Amino acid sequence: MKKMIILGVLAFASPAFATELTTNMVLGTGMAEVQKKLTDMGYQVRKSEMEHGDIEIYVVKGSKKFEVYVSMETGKITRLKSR
Amino acid sequence: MPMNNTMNSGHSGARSLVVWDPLVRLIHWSLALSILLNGVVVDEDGNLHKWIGYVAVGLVGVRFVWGAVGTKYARFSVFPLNPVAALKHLTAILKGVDTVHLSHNPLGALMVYNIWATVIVIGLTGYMMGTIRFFGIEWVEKAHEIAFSWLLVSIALHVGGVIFDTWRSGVPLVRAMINGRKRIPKDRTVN
Repeated sequence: MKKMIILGVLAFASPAFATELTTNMVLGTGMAEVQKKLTDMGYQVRKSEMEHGDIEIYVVKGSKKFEVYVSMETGKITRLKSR
Repeated sequence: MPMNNTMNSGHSGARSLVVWDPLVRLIHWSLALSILLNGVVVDEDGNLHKWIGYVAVGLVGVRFVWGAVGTKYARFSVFPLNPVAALKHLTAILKGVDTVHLSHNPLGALMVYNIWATVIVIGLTGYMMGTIRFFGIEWVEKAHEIAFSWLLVSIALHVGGVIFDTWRSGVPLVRAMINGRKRIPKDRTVN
């Protein structure tokens, strides 16, 4: 029963704290902004660079590794590679 | 005993000796292929790149074991890592000495160990890049790339050395790595 309540709370609460990266998610149009957003979401930023006008950031969280590409124009994730 | 099997190669007086056993040849060409595939053909972000990398390191690993327990000319003991000997060999070349080495000549030996070590560094850093601890860590990626660049330089030198030594010693070395036999011109001293 207790488990059910916890699950219920989690199911209700999680959309408010979106921590899963998805394409088209808006992270920001500047490098610092994107880095901060990812850090706030619990990701550890490993490397960030500009690639063909997009921001490319390597992040890890727990046992997950991602390469995130963010458009500087829209601020959205254009490509997300789970590594 | 095919190891020291001498036969007439068709050239008057030339001797043909079995030098490279099938495993040595298989490892040589498989390693060359894996370097070509991973360096030029395969997507470096993909799983295939990773698996070919494991294969390359595995090939070097098998060669290391074979260097200890393998056939006569495959053993480390016949081509020790010896920079002094390599230097001596270089001066001998400059003096016009045309001795034939049945295994690797001392300069070639240096290159062989260099290439194996470089492949291991590339494999190790490549593996590290896929771990949580080293994912996205810049120095690991740089080391992987620099080691690969060094490998390309080494391969160019290796191919250049093979061409030069084929001309110098009169032994067709590429053919030897294909059929295992070194055809030694009759007037050459064998070392």
